[in-house]
Amino acid sequence: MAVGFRQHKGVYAMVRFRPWLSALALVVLAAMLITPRLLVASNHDDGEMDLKGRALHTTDFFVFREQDQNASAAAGDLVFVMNVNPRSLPRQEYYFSTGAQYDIHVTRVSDNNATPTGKTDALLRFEFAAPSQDGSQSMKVMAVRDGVASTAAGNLRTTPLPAAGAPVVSQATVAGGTLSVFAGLREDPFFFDVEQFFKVRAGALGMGPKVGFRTPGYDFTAGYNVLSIAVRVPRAWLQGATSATTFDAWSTVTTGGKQVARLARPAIGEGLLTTTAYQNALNGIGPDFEAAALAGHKPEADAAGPIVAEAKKTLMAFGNDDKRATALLVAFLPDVMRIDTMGPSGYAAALNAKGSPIRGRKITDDVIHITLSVVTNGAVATDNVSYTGPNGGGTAHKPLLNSFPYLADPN
Amino acid sequence: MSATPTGLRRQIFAIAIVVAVIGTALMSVAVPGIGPGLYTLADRLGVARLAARPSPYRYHYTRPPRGAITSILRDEIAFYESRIARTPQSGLDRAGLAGAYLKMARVTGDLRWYLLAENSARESLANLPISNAAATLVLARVAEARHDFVMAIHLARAAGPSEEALPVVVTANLARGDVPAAAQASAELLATAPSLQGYTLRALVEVARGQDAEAEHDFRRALAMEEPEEVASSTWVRSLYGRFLYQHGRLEPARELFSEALRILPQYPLALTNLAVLELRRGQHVMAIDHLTQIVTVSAASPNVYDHVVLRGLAKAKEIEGRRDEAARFWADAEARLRQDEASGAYGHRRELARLLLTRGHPEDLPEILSLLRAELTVRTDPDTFDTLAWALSRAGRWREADRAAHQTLRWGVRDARYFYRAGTIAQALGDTERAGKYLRLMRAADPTFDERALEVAGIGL
Repeated sequence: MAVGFRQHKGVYAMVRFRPWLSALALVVLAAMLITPRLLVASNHDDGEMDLKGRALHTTDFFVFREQDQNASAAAGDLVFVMNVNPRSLPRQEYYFSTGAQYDIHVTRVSDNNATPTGKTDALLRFEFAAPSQDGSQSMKVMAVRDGVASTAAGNLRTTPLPAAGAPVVSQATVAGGTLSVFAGLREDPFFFDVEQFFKVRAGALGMGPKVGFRTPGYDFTAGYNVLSIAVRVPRAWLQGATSATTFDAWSTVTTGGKQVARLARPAIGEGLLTTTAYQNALNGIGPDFEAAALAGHKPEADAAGPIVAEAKKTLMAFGNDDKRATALLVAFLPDVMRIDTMGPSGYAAALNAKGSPIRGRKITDDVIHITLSVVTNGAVATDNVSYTGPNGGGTAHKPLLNSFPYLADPN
Repeated sequence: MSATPTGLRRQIFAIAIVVAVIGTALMSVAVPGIGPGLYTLADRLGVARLAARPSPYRYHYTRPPRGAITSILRDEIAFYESRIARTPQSGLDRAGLAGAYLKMARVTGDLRWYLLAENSARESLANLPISNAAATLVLARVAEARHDFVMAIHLARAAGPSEEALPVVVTANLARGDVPAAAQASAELLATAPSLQGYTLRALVEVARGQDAEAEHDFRRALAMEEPEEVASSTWVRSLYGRFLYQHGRLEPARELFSEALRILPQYPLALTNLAVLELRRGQHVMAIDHLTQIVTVSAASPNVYDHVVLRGLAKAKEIEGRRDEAARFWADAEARLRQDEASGAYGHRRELARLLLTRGHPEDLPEILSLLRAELTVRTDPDTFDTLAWALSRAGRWREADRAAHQTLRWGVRDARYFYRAGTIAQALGDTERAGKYLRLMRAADPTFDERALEVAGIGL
């Protein structure tokens, strides 16, 4: 029950000035005088709080071969999913930013063991206009491949919340290829006992009592929605004139000319870093910066030094020695989602010689289970949360759709 | 009685005006989304005028239907309550609930929501003492609402340099009068992500430094960055931009901004208060009263942030109207309300009480006024507080001290006609006519329309 509010219902009322207002105000004042004063409050210029978060924060990134999600799908297509606006509340409409560029970057990779370069060979860009009366937004889809830019023609639109049960999939023809695009609210597919992880991490770092995960764990993201951009891309389009079959991918959000978010693998920044400023710093750079820093180039190495040091400290707190912690950093940085399309997709389906996952990520992959096992050197295997549940409190995620965009309907 | 030809023409003209006004009002009632009772006749005319021509201040997104905001917040509160029922030991869900309570406090002005927010945030931190910036930020906001600016800054800094925390650091430092610290935080905020909030807050810092051209540029940039779901921020920036223009004598664009803010959210208190002040300055006391009474909360059980603002505004309006008895009653009510805040043991509205007593003008109040301001200056050293001190010291005939206070008012470079006027009168009293003349020129440059009415309205400090 909304504590207190329903007691207020019908009490608030706007009044217009009448001759009896003075008398009424006196009555009100007299009543107020016998009401305990709980607080004084602000009349200065404190910043306004909006009801909803801005859709500039990335929360998840997936890339997988479509046939590994849907056996009847055409061979050779990849699906990319970029989720933003975490903690969107159920039954509420949310919009993509009208001033932002939502980008998916792709690098062609010739050697699965090569260090990611962060060079963008292909870019998919999504921009959104102001919402219409029905809640949908017009969508501009652009692509830049090998330096050649093109924009999809036609009236591409997002799927508004009331129509979420029948996701609108648009065909966007760009640079000689046809992409399928969906954008709109979906259920957040991530599953993680985030709160307990914070406690486990704090215990490991000596910032709190040592604790383990709960059984069953509580899935913090259950019940929330996200804004999703899902795009089906033919591998041949990504290859261009090459024969590349492995790709590095990452997502960014840019507004006002500034990159404000970046995401590839899950739980790298948030899991290993406790300092907000460092997380902000990582959001503003690309994997090319990380590559330069890891190669010892200045000034990148100097700038990244404290961030890498904090990540390493967390890794060592989780039981890794210096050598293994360094090896893990090399495996997970630069932060990209690598996908070797010659084998089945899945976050732990294959690792390269550095220990980096190289088969992308499917929507229901238990990435936390995998990441915890790796970063704790097997000491912690799971947070005891699964996609299908039942998790603590009896929660579970909805089944995925059978066809593109696959993401479950929003709550 | 027969009318003279001139008188007849006047009557016909008056009738034509009345017919035009009623006709326009009827048409404006028919405008979708503007329900009867939402606006005064004057507001409707203002809206119609805004709709008739392009305005640089126009809000281009769909406005929320009436009641949508509180309905969304009710749902949000219910959502978090259901999650907490499932996981009673959750820190993050309690932080979410605290945030929802805080939003409700800001939307309604009802003080009890602040208490609920604070309690919920404390419970959240008890359950999750680390990695819980959301709960820490709620406490920072509550501390700022209590005028405990040092604590607000401390908590916001502890929460990390995020888009949510840095605004608190900016505004709390501005309130403290630490303009360089506010400038640094606003730069950090814009480095995190360009946003409406970031540009607006930098504009406030620039106003405090007297960089008015830069401030106006940033207000415009802020408007250009608004998003469809940021209705509160959209109304907030228009209210502050309008107030900036008002303080420079640009009353018509200021009025346009306030009206547009109210077209977005018809009961937004900051816009209603500023529009009421503008109308008082124009001598339109009936319109001012109408705006003020739209934010009165008629509930004995719902003490509201804006109660004293409304009461002080009504008192001034009645004074201008010439209804001295009614004005005296409202002044007395406002005083009782402010004294109650002061007695609450928290930080209270000491400056507002001091201003009220100065406006009343009883010499025997001066010791109390000075005592109030000395206490206020321990937490708040912004230009308004120093200006009120300069006013009080002038009233006490302590001109040298008043001069020092006026100097403190202007120390960061703010260009405000009210402050220049005060500094000029003090310099004049000290016999420094050259400096008095300089301040007078600065006053005219800051606001060429600044006059006695403007000064009188500024005195109530709404």
